[in-house]
Amino acid sequence: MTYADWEPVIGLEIHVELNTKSKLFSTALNHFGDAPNTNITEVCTGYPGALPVLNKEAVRKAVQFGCAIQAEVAKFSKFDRKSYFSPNSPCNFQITQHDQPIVKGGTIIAEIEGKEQSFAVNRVQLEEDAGTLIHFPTYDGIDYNRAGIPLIKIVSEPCIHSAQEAVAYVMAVKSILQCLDVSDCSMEEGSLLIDINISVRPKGVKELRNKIGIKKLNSFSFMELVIKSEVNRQIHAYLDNEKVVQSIYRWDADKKEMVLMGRKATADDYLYFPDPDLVPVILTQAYIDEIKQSLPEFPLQRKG
Amino acid sequence: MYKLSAIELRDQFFRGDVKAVDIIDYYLKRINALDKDVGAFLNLFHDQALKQAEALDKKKASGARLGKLAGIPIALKDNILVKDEIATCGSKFLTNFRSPYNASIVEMVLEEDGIIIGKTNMDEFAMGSSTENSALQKTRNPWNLKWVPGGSSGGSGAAVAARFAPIALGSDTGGSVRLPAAFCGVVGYKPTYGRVSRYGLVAYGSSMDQIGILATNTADVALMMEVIGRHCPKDSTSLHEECQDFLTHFKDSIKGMKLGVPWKFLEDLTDEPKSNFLNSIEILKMLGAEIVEIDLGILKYSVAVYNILASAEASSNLARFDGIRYGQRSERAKTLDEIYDFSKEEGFGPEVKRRIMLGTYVLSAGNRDAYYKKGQKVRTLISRAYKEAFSKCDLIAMPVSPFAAFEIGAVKGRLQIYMEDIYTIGVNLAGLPAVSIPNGLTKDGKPLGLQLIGPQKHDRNLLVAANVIEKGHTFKRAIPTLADKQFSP
Repeated sequence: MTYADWEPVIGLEIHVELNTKSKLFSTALNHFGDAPNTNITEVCTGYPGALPVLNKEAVRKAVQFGCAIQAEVAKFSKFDRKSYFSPNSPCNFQITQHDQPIVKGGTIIAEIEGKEQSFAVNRVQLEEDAGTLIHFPTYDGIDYNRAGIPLIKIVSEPCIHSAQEAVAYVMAVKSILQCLDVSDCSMEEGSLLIDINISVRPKGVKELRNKIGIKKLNSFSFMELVIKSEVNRQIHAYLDNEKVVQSIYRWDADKKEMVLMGRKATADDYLYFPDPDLVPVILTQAYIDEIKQSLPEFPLQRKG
Repeated sequence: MYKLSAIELRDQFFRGDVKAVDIIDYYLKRINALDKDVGAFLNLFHDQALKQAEALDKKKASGARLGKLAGIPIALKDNILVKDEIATCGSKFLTNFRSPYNASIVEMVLEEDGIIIGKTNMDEFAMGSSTENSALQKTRNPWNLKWVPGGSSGGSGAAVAARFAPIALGSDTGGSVRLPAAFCGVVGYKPTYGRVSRYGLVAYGSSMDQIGILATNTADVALMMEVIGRHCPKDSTSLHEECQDFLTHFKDSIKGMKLGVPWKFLEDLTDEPKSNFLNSIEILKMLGAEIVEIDLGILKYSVAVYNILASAEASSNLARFDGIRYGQRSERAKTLDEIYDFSKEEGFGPEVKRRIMLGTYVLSAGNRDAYYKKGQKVRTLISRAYKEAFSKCDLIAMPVSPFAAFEIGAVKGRLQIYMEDIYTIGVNLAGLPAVSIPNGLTKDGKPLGLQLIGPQKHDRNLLVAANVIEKGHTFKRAIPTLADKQFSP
């Protein structure tokens, strides 16, 4: 086999901070750039006895996006706890949607060299953001202003096959988000971040091979660079009869490099279970229809 | 003064027979004199309570409207948060934790001019049935200081029994209000899940936790329900219902009421608890109730289901106690992982660690289906069995516990301790309201309790019936000898 016999398989998870007035489960302000730990309540810092209450504005924005991509908006969805220990995760679990997300499926239409191309979305889930770790010479600080800000995580199918397609896909998603005014989409401020999963396989083969995950990319140019170099590296590894070890990297925006977070054969066990402090989200057809009818025009999506 | 009910005490204050300051001063002195032996309180709000009483006297003098709880001293279990006060939850981990906010029910109590006099002892994070799991102190049963007060709200049970406060609040996840009420010879009420806000109650098993009321009689319980039994926008599981009037609906008879008894499920009941229960059934008949048989055989699985589900939720709820933001941080810790490991190791007692490990186990990817998900399915079946039972009867009658209070340190087997909750746990799994009313003493003087259970949201019917049934019993509002005296300040 030669280099040209291989094709990249790329899946993207786009993390989008919604521009709601308050946070996903508390009344604290959702606002970027304020002094550390000013936009917090006892809910944001995970104090004992504090309970989450769902922000309806965040639900509405997630549904708007779901309608805009012609997805199925779930009339019943629920929130789950995802357990992991980290100082910026105040309860040591994140409230997310594990198996019943608010939006299922959907299509993103992007323009590539003048041609329209469709990309399949797997799901869109609502979840809360974590706080920010601030490193000092002899200690670390935590700013919980970001903790609890509503996110939608837009998960694509592994249907993207080049860096060019990946960039076009993200740009299309971004333009829908901006058109709907559901997010600031500021990559510099971290309100739009991209996780990439990359593997390669011989053309014509269906099975997926070991993938490399790169988390929290915040610019198109780095995304393009990272995809190109990673695809290149993996194909050469296989051509040289080497293995690609499944692993996860984090993008360090300051140093502009990939930092290895872990190599693992199996997925982490996040001890998922339904959050007993929250009730399921039940939406009516009338609610969904009303949102559909109030959508603005999209340059590409409306043809979809 | 200690013999008065909360309502009587308040009415004396309304009439001007007694000042709020005198009430609070009296109770604080009483606690200082008598609680050395009992150990009900972890923390007294001495100055704060007196200051509040002074303000209330001024408010009365000004002619302003007075709240429903005006002048009544109220004790809180130490897992209910009061702003700027320490809340330990009976754990070493939180001995330095001051709450930055009030629980919603604390706001409601203060709005109605109730006076919080202090915080009571409990099993660590409400995990236990005897208060012996408190990491901070022993609480003794006022009926006999060798006995446990029951748990996990044992401090609240002992405080009401010893007349340190006419009303105390506790929390009930698997029987933690009803059991100490029975062991201490007082009334214990567990409302419908969602009737009382959990905001500011430190969570143990969130889907079962419910704040409950301990008092010397059902009318005082009803009074407190009128204050705290209301919707709270900060708790997503709070019922969207109007706050109910209870006391105006109290009546004299339960004639024609159908009371279900799961006779088969109670087959193993022996000796005094059995004869005591049968005696209450006779009283119920005399009061005009019709006794019908119901099938609750499925409750034999309730202890197992409870231990799986409550532990699962607890393992997640207690993950936040990591030594980062509040509570104890191990001084030995040098790295982040050591902060987590050592702080939990030093801060948590054995029962808490056991349940965190069990909960993590039943939620792990390989075990979730076999334990957590299966437990949820059986929980649904239990709820269904109660629904089926309530198609045949208005209320269900059962004992509170298969045995009376035991000696401190006497029960060594955990399984035996867990089985103590066999009659109370099903109520939490199904989110039902239930009340424990004192219905007699064993030969050696241990109080026992009769449990009445209602369908979801039928809190008022249940308390109305409990009030009639309470009147039908000769054993009511009994005061333990130790506490049945004035004190010399």
